[in-house]
Amino acid sequence: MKTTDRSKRRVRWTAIGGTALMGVGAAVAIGANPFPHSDRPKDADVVALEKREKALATEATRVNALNAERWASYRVQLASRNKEIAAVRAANAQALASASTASYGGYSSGGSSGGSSGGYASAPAATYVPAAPVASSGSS
Amino acid sequence: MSTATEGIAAGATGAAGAARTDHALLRHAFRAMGTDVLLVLDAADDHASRQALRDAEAEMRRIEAVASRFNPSSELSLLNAAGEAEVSADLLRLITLALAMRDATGGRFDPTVHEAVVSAGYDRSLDRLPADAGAAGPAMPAGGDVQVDLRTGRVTLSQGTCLDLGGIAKGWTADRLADDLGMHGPCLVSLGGDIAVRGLMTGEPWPVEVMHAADPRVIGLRRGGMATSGTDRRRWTRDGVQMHHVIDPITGLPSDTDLLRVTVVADDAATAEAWATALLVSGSEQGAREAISRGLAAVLVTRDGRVVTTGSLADGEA
Repeated sequence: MKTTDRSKRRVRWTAIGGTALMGVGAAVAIGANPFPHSDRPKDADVVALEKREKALATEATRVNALNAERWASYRVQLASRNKEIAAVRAANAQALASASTASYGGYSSGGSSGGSSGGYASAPAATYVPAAPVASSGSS
Repeated sequence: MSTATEGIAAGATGAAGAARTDHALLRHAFRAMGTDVLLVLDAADDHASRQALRDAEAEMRRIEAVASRFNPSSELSLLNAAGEAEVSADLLRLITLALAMRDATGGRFDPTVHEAVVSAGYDRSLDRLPADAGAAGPAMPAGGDVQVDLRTGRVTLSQGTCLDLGGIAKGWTADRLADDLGMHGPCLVSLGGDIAVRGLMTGEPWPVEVMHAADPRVIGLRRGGMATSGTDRRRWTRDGVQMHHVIDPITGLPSDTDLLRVTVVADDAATAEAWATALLVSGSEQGAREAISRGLAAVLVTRDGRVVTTGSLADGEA
């Protein structure tokens, strides 16, 4: 009786061990991926989409490069234009200042509405002058 | 429309004493906005300068197409017809400037005089007005409500309100063209009564003729702008009565003060134009007081030939 019980327990444990071993074996087999995906033929739509994605990425890179190049060129032109504008303004300001110093006293009586000498800021915007007109301010 | 450009060797001595033989006074004349336009550029007589003058003319015609009340397809006419619209940046600037000047002048300059001008008979360009077309319409006081949304550019006119930007549009355009031309050299832009200058002409102020009572005087304009507003120009007849275009916004009728003509010098031509109109409708006494209190250089000529000068023009003539 005792022998039979022991025998039955051994068979049970052997079955449990065998089952566990098979489970581990199956897991290892699945993890090893013996039948890789690439072997299967891809869906044509997926292939087309991947191709399109690649083309768009290439195009985006090209457009970004072009944009960067144009911005750089624009910045150079802008800096150059700003330089020209600053030069013209400086020249005009200098001419105005020089003229104010040189000729202002000769034109006005230096009354209360303006200074009697000196720089541009003190010269009135308008005074009577002894000169031939270049234009006329008729009624608008 | 005739256009003429000519170059006159400056032959003058620059501010610093150096001869500037390479420079000329380039003059470009044409007709636009119902007035004679003159552009004078003190610059080298080359392709760039002449192109700048042509560009300025093109810019002026573009602004005229936006702000003319006589052109039914202009942006301003479409706004007046619809009562509200989202307007271009140019028209938005002009309208906000005109409204700012209405506030500054206490309503004596007002862009909502359109209906009064039309009622007085000035409903088409002056050269198309009939010799005498019957009695003028009733007085139409101005002061209409104008709502401006600067964020969206939407302008809404109250019922019965239309805008006439004629005078201030000329001043603003003169300023704008002077800014553009000024990049090429000292310049003067003259749109009839509205004048803007940038820089000095061969180192001297720009000499501009201004009519006093009967004789012309010459004012040296150093910077900014000048404008003349008068009842002696742009006149027409209605039922035998002489009318003119300067409307008193308060009465809604052509101005009827003792002043014939007012010239104002200001930081820009648009401001000068608004003040010239405001002083004209104020009369000589109040107008002179206003000009003095605001430090404006002005010439006020009365109908009986008196001349009142203020600011830097008050201290005698050359």
